[in-house]
Amino acid sequence: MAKESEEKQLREQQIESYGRLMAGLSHDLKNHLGIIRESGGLIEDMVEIHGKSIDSALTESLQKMTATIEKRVKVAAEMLHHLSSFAHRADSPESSVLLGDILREEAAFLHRFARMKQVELHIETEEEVALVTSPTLLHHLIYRIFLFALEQLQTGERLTIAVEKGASRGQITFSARKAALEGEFPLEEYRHALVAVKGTAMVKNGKVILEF
Amino acid sequence: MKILIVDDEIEFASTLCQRLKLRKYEVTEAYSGAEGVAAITTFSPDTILLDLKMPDMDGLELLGIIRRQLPQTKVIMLTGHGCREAGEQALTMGASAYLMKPVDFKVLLTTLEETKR
Repeated sequence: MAKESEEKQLREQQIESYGRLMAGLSHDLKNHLGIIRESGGLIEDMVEIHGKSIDSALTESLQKMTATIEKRVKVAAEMLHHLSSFAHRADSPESSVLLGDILREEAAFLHRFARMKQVELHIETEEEVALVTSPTLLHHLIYRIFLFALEQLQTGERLTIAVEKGASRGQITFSARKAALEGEFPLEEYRHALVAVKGTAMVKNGKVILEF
Repeated sequence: MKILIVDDEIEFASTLCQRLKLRKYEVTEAYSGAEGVAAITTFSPDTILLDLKMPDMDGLELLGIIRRQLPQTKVIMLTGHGCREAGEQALTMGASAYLMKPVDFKVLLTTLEETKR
């Protein structure tokens, strides 16, 4: 029992450290993005002020470039916003969360994995479900179940991850448009995480359900 | 309107300063908390754009000093910090608004105009 408690403490310390490092990194990246955005904006201002006295093709080209900078900064800022929220989830081992918030911030990173496999990822977070849980281990489980589901899907499929009220306190379901998700999710491997999030995972009716 | 930018990211503060000057604001910069403290008395700004995290002084600490020395001055916090609580705390300490970095310049201009009212 003492060993288990020691391991739990070690895991919590590791998670907290990763969270702090990630939060610091995302803070620095936001500062870099801020400079890129303002520099792009300043070029835009200059073009607007001096546009008439410079070549129109150059003006057009600069405007296109500054528009691209702004567009990409917006996308990157949105991702960093999710990364920051994600990182700050490690501030405490247990807290009150909305399942939709957790899923939305994680989805920002899952889209890339789905895209690599040419699977469309659809996220539904309309249902508001509040829980007191371990947010970082919940992120961990969502990621693992997502990989478990993704492995079973063919190119062109659509994977939906949805927050639902369900029969108990709430649930997150993973379902595909065509294929029925099957197989056994390795519960034993994630026993600690499932205990920490106060949930259970099951494969039922072609869906994977993380129930709380 | 006189605006003081307090941010340890020199390139950010100076670029923002140039953009605001192009829009006819009177702007000056401070690159640390200590420089910020000095500038609030020498420059007497109407509004301060204040970074939340600086190496020598926490933005909230400087906000407290500003509130005591220049209670009429409006403060807009700029934060790259992911935790919204810090921004909310700044509001309870008397900041007029907080904006997340990288700041949307149009939103900043709107917020600056709102602080005039």
